[in-house]
Amino acid sequence: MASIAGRKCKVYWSTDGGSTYQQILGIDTIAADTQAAPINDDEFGDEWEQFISGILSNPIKLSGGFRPADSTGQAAIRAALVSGAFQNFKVLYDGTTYGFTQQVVVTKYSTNTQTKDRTTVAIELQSNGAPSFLP
Amino acid sequence: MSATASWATQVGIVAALRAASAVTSLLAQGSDAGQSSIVDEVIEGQLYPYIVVGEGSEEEELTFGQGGHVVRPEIFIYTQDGSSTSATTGAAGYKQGLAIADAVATVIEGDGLTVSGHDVTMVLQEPWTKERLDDPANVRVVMPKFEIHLEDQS
Repeated sequence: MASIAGRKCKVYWSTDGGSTYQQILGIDTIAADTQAAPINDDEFGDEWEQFISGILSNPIKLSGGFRPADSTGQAAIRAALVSGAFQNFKVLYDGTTYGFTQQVVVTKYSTNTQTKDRTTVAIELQSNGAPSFLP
Repeated sequence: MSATASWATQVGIVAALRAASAVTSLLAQGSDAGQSSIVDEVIEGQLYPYIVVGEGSEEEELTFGQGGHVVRPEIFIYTQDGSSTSATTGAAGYKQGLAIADAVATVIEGDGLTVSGHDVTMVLQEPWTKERLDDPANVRVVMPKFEIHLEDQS
């Protein structure tokens, strides 16, 4: 299978526990860092550090153009930041099949405006539990 | 999702300029109060001053699931005034062309531009130039340039 062009990606938001998802508009960048916190396991006699895999997480960063009228996407995410509610995020890198869903809390929603550029938004999501990788 | 937006943008610019009496009143009047002095191809016998729309460039500006474009049209304003009125204050030189350019920029940077199938999200002025032509005599060309950001309508 060939690599996937970034232009095919779509991102979605769910406010009903992942039953239905609505596309988040205006987003042009996603970074999902599925990672394990390394736990040091050194002992006397080791010449090189020893690590074991620790607890897993999947923080997500989104950014793009600010769309305040996107009531089921960007505006819903901002509302979730204020309420602190657990909600669900989905990405499909090829627009149809490959990606993951993840329960998240919203930890950051920032906007940036300059006179000679569009108004942009940057969103940070912290995972709660394991992602479901698709397919 | 549209593949390109240059033609729709050109049509939108011509329509917006022709609808603006502040622009057309400064152009050769002809039989339609200056509207036919805004063209994308000059035909023989075109009277001064007139505007040519058509040159420029385009590139994609995508978001996930939605197409977008940055179109950079170049607009050429041709004037010819052989009067002997002193330069910088009279009709000779660039004064006429710069007045037309000001009216054009007011329309395109204002809310007057509509591009079919797209939302106009931002219009910026690009660095633009002016130059004199010796043939035909006394012709001045003012070339305002713009950067138009468009999002595809769903």
